[in-house]
Amino acid sequence: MARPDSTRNAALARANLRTALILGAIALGFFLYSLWRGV
Amino acid sequence: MAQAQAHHDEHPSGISRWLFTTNHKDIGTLYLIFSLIMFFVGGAMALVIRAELWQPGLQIVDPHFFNQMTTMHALVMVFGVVMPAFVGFANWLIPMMLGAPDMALPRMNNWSFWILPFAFTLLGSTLFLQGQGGAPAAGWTLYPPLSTQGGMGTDFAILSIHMLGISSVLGAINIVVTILNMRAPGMTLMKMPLFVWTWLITAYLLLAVMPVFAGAVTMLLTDRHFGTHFFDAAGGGDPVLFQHVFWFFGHPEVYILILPAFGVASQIIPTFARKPLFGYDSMVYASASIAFLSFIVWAHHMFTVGMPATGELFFMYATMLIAVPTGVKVFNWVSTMWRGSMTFETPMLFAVAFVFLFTIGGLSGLMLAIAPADFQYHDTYFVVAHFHYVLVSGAIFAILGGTYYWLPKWTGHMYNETLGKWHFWLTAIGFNLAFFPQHFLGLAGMPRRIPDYALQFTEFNQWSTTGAFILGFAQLLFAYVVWQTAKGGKKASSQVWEGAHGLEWTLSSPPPYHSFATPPKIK
Repeated sequence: MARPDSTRNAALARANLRTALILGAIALGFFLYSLWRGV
Repeated sequence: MAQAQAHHDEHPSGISRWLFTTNHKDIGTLYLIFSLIMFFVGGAMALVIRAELWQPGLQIVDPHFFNQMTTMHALVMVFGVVMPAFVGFANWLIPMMLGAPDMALPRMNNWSFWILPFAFTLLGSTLFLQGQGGAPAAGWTLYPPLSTQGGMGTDFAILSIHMLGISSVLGAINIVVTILNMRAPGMTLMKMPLFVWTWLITAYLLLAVMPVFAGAVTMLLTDRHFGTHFFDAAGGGDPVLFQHVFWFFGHPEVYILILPAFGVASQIIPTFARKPLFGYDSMVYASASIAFLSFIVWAHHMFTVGMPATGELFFMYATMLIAVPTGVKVFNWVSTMWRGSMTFETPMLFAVAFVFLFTIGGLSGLMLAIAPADFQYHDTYFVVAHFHYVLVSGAIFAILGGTYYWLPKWTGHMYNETLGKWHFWLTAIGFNLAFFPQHFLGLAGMPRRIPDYALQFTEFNQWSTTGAFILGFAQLLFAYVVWQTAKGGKKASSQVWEGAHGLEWTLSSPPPYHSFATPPKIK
């Protein structure tokens, strides 16, 4: 049964981590880009 | 499996429950309590400002402390009240609305919250550094060169902003991941409640602009201490660059504060009009359009800085365009109420006042968007009136209304309706008395962020101060109602409100510590 619970579903936990890392990388990119634009 | 289940249902108690919790409901509660405390801190600062402005001349505080109060009031209200309150709502409601058992990244969720008290301790501690320049006093916009000249309070504020930014970005990541990955089977994006939609869009805005703000204050820090000249004209830099970078963050930030409020209003109004939300799809597209437009209007905050006319025209027209999706939303709320079987419990009173008063704030925003007119209004009390209509009767009214709406669900008890209504009317009257006269003050030329004023402004200022004190003290009633409801009272049913629809109303009131361990079926 599909169970939307990342603490008991390893595949979902991996998917969540992957999405989070992509979003985090985008946020870091915006930070570095704004500094680079300042320079 | 049985063991895992037992472990999963463990319900810790005492202080460790709150320190180490990964439960979305507990973390939501922490955010909401934190926000309420900061509401009183920021409100007290507002009352210092208004007390000083009771009459012309300097009476209560010296001008430098007055500037600290305007700066800190804004920072506290924006980052310590409105944002944490909506993140509290998001934590409590998004998993329940989507049929998920918790947020996608529960440990990170705990960290997102617990950064906040430390960040605000750091920021608040600057008030005790009066010998070293005190709290930041350059306004919440931190424009150089004023902010590069300030005392060490500005450095504390910069570090605090970095911490708040990390907290917000982690929170936003969690919300996006939860919405994209954790929906119950059958809960398609276009079936999600509007509150979830507005938060998804808000979270993307946060991800895009909080890092830019971090970049701006990092450059400020290196200008202050490490010999760079990003914003120093004498060293080849440009102070206007800071304004551009700041408002590239600052304008979307306004929508970060108001989009979840749109979501809350879109949940409350259909319930008490006993009709489905009018134009659901258009509400979603309007929210997305507002978010997109928020990225291309930033320079309307700096019309007087000396931009080319082409730039002024671009930002003027782009800003006016925002009225279109915002108008769609307002008309949809009104159409939802049209011929509905309306009742006016406290949440609905706040929601109706939200629609009416936020629209006033939106219209004065349109006036400010007209570049030539803005040369007159810029940095006057008209701007102060405008953004308080947007942020108090917009964001704060939605937070108060939303609290009354979901409080029975959260606590399992009905709040005292009579006291709720008293709170609403005192808040609404106090608010309008405080801020409506400020339109006239601004149009007559009273500048903002100044502790003294010309004699002819006295009467409107006294109205405004009277209203501010009514508004401020009325919130004590709110705190009492919340405390009383949390403590006990009439039991609330699962559905709570006759016209309420959505997954959160299928759970008991209060919901179990771990809800939707088995995903619900969505038709």
